[in-house]
Amino acid sequence: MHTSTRLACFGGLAALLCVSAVSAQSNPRSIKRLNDSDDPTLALTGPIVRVSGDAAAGSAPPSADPRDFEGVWWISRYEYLLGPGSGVTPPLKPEYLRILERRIRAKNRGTPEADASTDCRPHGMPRLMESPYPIRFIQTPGQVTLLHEVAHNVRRIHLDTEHPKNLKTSYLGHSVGHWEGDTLVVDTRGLNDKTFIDDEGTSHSEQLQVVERMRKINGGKELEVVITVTDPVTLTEPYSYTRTYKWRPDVRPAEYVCEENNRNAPQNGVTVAK
Amino acid sequence: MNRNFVTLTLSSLYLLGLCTSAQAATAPPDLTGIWQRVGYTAATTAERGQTPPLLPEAAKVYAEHKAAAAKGDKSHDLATVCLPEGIPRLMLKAEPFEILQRPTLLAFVYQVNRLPRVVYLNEQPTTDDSGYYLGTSVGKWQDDELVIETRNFNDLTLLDDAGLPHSDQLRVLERLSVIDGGKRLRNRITIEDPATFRTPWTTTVTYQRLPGYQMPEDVCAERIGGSTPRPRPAKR
Repeated sequence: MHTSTRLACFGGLAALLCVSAVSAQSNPRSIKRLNDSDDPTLALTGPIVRVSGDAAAGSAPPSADPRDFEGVWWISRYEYLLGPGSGVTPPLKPEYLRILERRIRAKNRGTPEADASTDCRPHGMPRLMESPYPIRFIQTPGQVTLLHEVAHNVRRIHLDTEHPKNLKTSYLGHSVGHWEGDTLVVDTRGLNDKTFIDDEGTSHSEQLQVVERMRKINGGKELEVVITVTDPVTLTEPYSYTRTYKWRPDVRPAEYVCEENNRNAPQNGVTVAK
Repeated sequence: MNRNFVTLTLSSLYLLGLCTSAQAATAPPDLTGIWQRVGYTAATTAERGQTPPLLPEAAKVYAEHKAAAAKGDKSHDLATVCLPEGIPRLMLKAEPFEILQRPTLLAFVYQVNRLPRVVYLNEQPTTDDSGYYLGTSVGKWQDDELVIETRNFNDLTLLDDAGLPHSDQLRVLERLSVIDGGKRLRNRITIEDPATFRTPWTTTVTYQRLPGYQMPEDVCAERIGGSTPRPRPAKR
């Protein structure tokens, strides 16, 4: 994959690389311990490799306008499991918890089940926002656009409008947003069920709804996003968690070509890294 | 033709703009919105319909591509296995693209496989020569004309849907201006590649606005039924 030398621990290959250090778990209740036995987060504090254009990028301070999110943001730390707390399993109904446990066992064996992203399809939501790659926000009248470095994902948030009736499903769904004070509230629906919610392999249905409340904090140096996940098919109740993204005027998202030499391309539904 | 002179010429055009356009007093036109090419043709020609001035070896490669495509073999076109179409091909295709215009940059978001391209304004071209599918682009408003120079390409893409080849020495200069009272956008594209063409040459295409168009989520891997492991293609 042509993605410069950014941290490449995301997606199916991440499952192999990151989980390979974890001892095999035989107890199906070991979901928490899977993370407890390893650092569940990857702090993105290492040196940043200069890529195309980074050298020209600056050190501009964040805008004083609380509604101005324009620029590049990078998640402060990322987790495999997206639950209501660090390392906490989402409130899944029993049948969907069993699927998650099966996928974790498969990863521990070194043969993770493939999902859409291992085949260079969009990562889905909310997983895409958990990507340890930079995101460029662009604000134009009526629209906030997120250009993700990872696998050239693009999200469009349509402001002050409704979801279309008879919404067709897609990998990233349809997002509408509005301002509540200085918080941008984004509602995403119409997500197909081909993606995992997170890197661990949590399932969701087409009734998944993701609400993000985004606001600048810490003098604009960080973007806080409170994410609420609702899915009446797979979850016993909605759950929320919070992420922060750092202001990174020194970074320019690079050309990321998942489709080039995709070592993770699935075979018979299993991701086999080569 | 002195190739060094030719190479200098294209960059000089861009740099000249960099020096002079600070004088532009009025706000540039707003290109934000979704656009689609008018009068699409697969094969790109120079002005007045002339064949691009291909060097003999490149002319042979182009003929081979067209002959293979006529037989249904498009294996020379890596876009068929979801690798990115490059520049200028993405500006020549029939599928729409979105422009997001901001004071320091313009983003082009192409419908085709959701490919993004960011043009940074008022900067010198980067010295990075890593070789990218879409190259690296810098731009400048010259009065009402947006001038974009793109370089740092790999040689894994084609210039157009008909299979026009290029080398990693490709440089592309685009001059975009609105016409018809803002309803249309004209792009005069000058292509320079001393390893492929005898001289730089120019083609002009026009786009129309698509108000209200909802960009679909185009996923190439889905269109072709899944990606497959494959090695990085050998250089031409």
